[in-house]
Amino acid sequence: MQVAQLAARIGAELVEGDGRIEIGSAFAGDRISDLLNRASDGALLITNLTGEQVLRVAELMEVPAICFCEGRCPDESCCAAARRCDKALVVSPAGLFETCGRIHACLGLGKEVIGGV
Amino acid sequence: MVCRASYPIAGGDFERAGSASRELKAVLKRLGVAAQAVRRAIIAAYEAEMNTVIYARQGRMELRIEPGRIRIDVVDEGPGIEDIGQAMHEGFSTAPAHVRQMGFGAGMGLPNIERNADELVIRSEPGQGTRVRFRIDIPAEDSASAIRSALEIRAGRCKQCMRCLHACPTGALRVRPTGPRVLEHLCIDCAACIEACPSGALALEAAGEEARADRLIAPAALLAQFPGLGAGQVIEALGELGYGQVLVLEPWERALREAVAEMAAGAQRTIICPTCPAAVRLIELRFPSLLPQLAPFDSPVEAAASCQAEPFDLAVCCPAQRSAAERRGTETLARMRPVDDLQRALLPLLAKLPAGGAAERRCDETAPHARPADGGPQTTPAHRGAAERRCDETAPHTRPADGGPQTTPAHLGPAERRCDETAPHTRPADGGPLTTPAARPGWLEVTGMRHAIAVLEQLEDGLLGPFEVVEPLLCDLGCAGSPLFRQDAHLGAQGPELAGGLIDESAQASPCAPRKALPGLRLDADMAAAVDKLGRIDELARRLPGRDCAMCGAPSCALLAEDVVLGREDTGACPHLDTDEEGLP
Repeated sequence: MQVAQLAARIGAELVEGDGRIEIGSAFAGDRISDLLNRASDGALLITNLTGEQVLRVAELMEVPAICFCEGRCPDESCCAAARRCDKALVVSPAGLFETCGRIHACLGLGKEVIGGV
Repeated sequence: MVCRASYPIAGGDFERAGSASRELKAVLKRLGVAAQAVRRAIIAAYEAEMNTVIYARQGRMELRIEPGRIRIDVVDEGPGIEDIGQAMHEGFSTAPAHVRQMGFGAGMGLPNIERNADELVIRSEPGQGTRVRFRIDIPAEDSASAIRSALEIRAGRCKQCMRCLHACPTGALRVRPTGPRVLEHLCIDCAACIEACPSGALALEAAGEEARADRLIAPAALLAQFPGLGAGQVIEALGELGYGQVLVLEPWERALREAVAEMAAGAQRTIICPTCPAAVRLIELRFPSLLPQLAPFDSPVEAAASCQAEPFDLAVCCPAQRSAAERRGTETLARMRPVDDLQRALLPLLAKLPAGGAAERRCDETAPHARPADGGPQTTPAHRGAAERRCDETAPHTRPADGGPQTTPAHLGPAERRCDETAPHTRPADGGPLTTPAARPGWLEVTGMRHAIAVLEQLEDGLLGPFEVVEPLLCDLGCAGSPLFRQDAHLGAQGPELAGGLIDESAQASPCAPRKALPGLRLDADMAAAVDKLGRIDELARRLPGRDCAMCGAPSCALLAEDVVLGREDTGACPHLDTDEEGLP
């Protein structure tokens, strides 16, 4: 599913990046170490962290899109970093748990969705 | 082929944090390292980099890419780690709150490095900083092209005698009008071709120009190369060459054998002892089905090289020792010196010494007992080879009362020459003569290329008897039989009397990741294509005269056929074949 489509379905907003990026699975976590280990290509990273370091992890692990929770908007430097490395940024108004649940439903059961935290 | 790079890391700079890992990733990708290895390297590197950013003033990430391995060192000037064991515990962290808020400092960093690396070594002193060193193995398929032989070819000396072609156990050599050529993906870095070459066209790559260290690690056989001179005199001469301290390799050999014996005791199958790095390469290339039986330990030369904190030089007696130590990539290794090179340097120094050091030699101690009054030549130990003589220490118990010639060790074939039940007693508690092989019940030491291959073939076919351990050593009688030594294998294997200063009491076996098959013999990565090629090779081989004359420069007609089908040669190379013949490619 395309990231823009997914964002619309879960009531989130695409704030940065190309909405056509294809998302096959998702994973969530609030610890960088967990994110590093769970990252996989074509996955959406869902987190409570904001900061530029999440972008760095996405870049290193080739994760194409990040979803921030609780309506926390990434700051300008974070958006600039996302533009630089072609990542899509999504902001969900819901909390981490609720966001994961909505995305889980959208991507369909049977898909590999790794919940965290 | 070794590629190095170094990246600075600024402590406390969270803006730029991760940039060293990012550069590392770019380099690895450019080099075409497999994605899975890149991923593991990056996770481990990023964790180590973040530790430096969080805790240290500054540091650097050092990268070293070698055939088959990525080695990364992250060195910092930080507070050091008080208790490394505790730090390795998941969840243990000393990170401040603001760092934790960013998602770091969850006490997962070091365990995460350990999970992703094939080897992790942490050195840290409180107040002195920390060095995190880890290794990522690149799967064999991906590194095969990067494997490099440590053999040096001096083409000008080649007389085109073709002896090396027949000596090579893996068909890795070709002789062209311009001299010998090594097919590096097939070379196991043994010394068979060096031994076969009468003109010195094949040699062990000479030492580099780097500075020499005070410490030399060498096989004990080096000390037994000069007839009439004792180990003490050789050590003295090594001192004149600048080596203040000489350590022999044998304690690491013994530690390895102890570890392998322990492992074999609980094993269902015969375990292979990886003493000889060339034998390890032979198994990786030619006997991959035996890899699960190969004990996962470094060879003694790698184990010795990897535990040296001070700079040292390493005396190597075959290309495989050299490439094994090179792959290990030890930072303190100043220089590798082929033993022939060392002997040449020692000769003029030793020539000045008065002879008569023979009293120091070990064989003299046993001589009064060994030589019978009647001097009967057939039965004196002095007339037997070193392998038998080692068993002889227990001989009084093992020889049958009737002395039947069929059962005396001297009359047994090499495969049966293992020491028997009483053998464990031959290893003195005081660490006595270290050249004694691991003589244990069920331990088969097999030396020499021909014998090692025969035994490995039997082991592969399930025909080998109930041995707990097989220890293949490709040179005759082990490293003492290296063609780089001046002295005959039997004399070199006698070993000198080893003084305490030569022995590192702390020598330990060094575990390594399970070894992986080398795909060198594979005709094609794609099975269907390989089958097709095999058919074409067979067909062409049938048309070749089958004389295996080697005039084409390949060791046999079958290998010329393979060269042709794989595009390494054309059929015109065969002087006996009319290339106009119908149906030839």
